[in-house]
Amino acid sequence: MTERRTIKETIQAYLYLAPALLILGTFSIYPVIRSLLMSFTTVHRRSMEVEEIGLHNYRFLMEDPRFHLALRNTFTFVLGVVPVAIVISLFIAVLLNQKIRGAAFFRSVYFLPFVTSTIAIAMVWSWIFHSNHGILNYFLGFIGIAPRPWIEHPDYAMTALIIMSIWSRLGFNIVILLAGLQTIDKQLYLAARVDGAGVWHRFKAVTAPLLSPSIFFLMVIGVIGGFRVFGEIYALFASGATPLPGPANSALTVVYYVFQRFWDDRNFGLATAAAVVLFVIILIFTLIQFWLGKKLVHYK
Amino acid sequence: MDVHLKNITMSFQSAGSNVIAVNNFSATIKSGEMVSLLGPSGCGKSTTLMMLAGLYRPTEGQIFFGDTDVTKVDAEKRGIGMVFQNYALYPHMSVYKNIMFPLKMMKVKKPEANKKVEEVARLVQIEHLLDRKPAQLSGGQQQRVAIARALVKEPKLLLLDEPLSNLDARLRLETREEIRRIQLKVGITAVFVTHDQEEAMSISDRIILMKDGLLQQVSPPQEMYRRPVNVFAAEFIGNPPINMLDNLPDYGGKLVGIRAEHFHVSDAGMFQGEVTHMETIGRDTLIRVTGANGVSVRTFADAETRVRLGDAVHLSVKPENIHVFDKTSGERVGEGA
Repeated sequence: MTERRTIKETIQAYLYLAPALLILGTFSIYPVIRSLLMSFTTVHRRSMEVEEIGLHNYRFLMEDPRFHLALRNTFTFVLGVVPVAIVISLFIAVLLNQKIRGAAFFRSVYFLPFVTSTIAIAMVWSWIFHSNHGILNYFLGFIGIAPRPWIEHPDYAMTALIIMSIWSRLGFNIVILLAGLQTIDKQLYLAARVDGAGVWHRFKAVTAPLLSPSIFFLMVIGVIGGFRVFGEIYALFASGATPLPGPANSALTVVYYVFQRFWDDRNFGLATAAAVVLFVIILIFTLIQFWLGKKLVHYK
Repeated sequence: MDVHLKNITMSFQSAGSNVIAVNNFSATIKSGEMVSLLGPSGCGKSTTLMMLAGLYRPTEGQIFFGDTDVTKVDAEKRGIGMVFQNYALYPHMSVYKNIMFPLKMMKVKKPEANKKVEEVARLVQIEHLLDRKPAQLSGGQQQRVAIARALVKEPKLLLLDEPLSNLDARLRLETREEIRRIQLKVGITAVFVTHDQEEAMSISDRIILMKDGLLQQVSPPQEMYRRPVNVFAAEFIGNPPINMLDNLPDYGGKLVGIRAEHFHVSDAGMFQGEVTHMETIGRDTLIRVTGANGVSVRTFADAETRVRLGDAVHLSVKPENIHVFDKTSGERVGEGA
């Protein structure tokens, strides 16, 4: 593999790569670079002329209470959704992995949320959450809990968003975990039983470690996706005439902040600066996870 | 600890129909002996082992460990040691932790557990491998780890499910001697499942021969070889396979089994024919002698007789080496006269 490439071979290789490079370059790499540059500028909202260059956008973000709120909300969302969704889907996946009647049917049922559009999901859930005739309040009434204005009140909006997001992530998580469970050698469970391990110890000693690559993958994907949440909020809260990310900005997240700054305020520099901050946060979290993964995940 | 299987039946539901894997099976395994469960695939030997382990619960019948009825005791509580066909070592744990695992489940105190792991590792000669992961070990080494893990909790009963089938021929020979050495040293009662008659013959005190879920014969290996109770036992044990002859003049309506080594090339004998095939493997020369009616038998040729391909020969056999079986039932009816 240390052979020197001839110039002809190199040109050939680049020609093969050209279509992909062209598309990636135009629609991914170029915009990324332009956004990064744009985050250091302020441009006129109509003439697009550069009015200011420097770190002023970042300085503004550091002091903007709305951006701080967006950060707080985003972290709440990620922490509320990702671990809970993984734990619930792990539980369901382990159940579905048993030899139960109709397992194939349930596998399809649980996968449905993944192939359903966010808008449709949000519409159904906004009906479920409805304060007067929503099914959630109806059922809560049975166990003596007073109806709550799930999406109309700032105290509950984030909870409602988290519940819906957990639900919509289950399908994907379960499919990945089921695939991971299938790769575990069934004899290991027999061996563990002979070695005296009950259900819990079999899970701890066999399932969890051997499923750790799948769980880790879901953590990374989930955290990245969680930090980027936008669609669910837009669909659940902002379907009215004046789109708002929840009552009193209670579900304002970083991407929603970017969207507002860009679209409503047409402050492109500030919007891209917020996006860059989000990128750095996601990068740091992913690096931390990979560092943790090296210690905790067992690869074959 | 004696192990008793009393009228064990195991049936599975498979695609709507009832499959009987083990049928009214009774046997006793005496304390300290190594017993092989031998039979072709699908004969129910592995199912029987799984029931001994507590991984399957018999549909009918009882299993006793000594005087205790363990039929309804789960594998987790049965306290036996088991070696699986593919070893089933926990891939994410080091050899040390693998062996430690049963002790951890028994909540054995750390210092004591460490001592036990080291002891058993010495017994199976893997002290130098304790820090490795299973994937870093050869098949033979993994096998030893699996045995160590099965023995570490000092079980009363050791079960081995085709433990040699994943090893190459040379290692198989070595490992089976090793298993026997360890079993004798520990003095543990052991049940060894195999489909390889040679393996069963070489390693066990007694063989339990099974076919289609039914017990065929229980006896020490040599006795099973010398006095097979039916056609199946005669044909399953021995290599080359026993010669089964039908319609011999003096044995009308009977099947006659004669082992290859019991024929002797001589001037006169009960079987005449032409040498149609010869192969020399090491010190033995195996010949095939085909009679006038097209029936052929296998036997060994002495180095001195100098038989050659195409020679017409007579084969004689001592009467006591002739096994006579009933043609319809397949049961042994006696020896030759």
